[in-house]
Amino acid sequence: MDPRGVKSPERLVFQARAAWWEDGLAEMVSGIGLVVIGLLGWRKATLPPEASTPWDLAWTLAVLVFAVGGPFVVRWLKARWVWPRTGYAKPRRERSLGVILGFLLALGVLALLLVWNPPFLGPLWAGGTMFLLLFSWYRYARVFRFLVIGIVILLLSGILAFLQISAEVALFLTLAFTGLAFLVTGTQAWIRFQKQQPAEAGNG
Amino acid sequence: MAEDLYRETARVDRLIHEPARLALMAVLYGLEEADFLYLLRATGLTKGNLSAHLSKLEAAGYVAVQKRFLGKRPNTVCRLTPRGRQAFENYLAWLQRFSRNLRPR
Repeated sequence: MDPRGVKSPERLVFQARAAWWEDGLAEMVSGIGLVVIGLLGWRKATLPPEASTPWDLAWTLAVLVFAVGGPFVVRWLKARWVWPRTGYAKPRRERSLGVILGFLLALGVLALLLVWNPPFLGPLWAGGTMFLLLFSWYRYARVFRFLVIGIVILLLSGILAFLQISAEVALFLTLAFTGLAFLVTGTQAWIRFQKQQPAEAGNG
Repeated sequence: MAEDLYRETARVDRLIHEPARLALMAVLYGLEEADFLYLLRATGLTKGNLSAHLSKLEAAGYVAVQKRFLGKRPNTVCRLTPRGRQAFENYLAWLQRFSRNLRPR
């Protein structure tokens, strides 16, 4: 082992957890999905109910396509462009009670937000939930850009709350903005990855 | 207290305590599974060293190694077993207790 590169065990664990986001592909695909879902949702939320049916259908279709197809697309892209060069690493799925409770709490907040539709708290809740999600990713893998995106989205939700935008519109704008931020940081990570990684290598 | 720590230190898991194997266990602990190429890159070990350390960890039941083919290429995938995961958590807990006792008060 190269003694100059010695790292603490904890640092190695975090580095391994961050491997999935190292190339930026997962962020770019999620970014495209969130932008499309956010913009379609924003469009259907701003139309009167009788005119929004086609947009409702398009939105539902987009959610299904990205939720089901997104992970497959990321894996295909990684298998084609990343794993032959860096090796394959599958992230660990945390199934702890805290993660499950956090997920259920986030779903509960989302449902409450859409039913109650509070004028001022709605945008803050949308931004706050997204911030908590990104903060939990940052804590898990120490990918600093997730913390930065989370803080920017929290600030944006403050602006949306000040503008007294409805909870539903604020939620979709938050999704679209998060997607845009993912696209920017994902592209940056991909460019950095292209410069740093060697050409294709063999496996044992 | 110091005597307890001394006894505990004497019983430390030497299989994990070796720096290269500690690095390997740490990387695998953060993942579900990883292949040989990823482990080479993440640990900075040579192919021969990595292979030897993986064999030792596999023999101890800490790591499961699966050999497969991706197209025509051989591909070796490794993952920590539940036993290996528990052993690494025990080792980390010991390391934290040990470093806490080293700090001047």
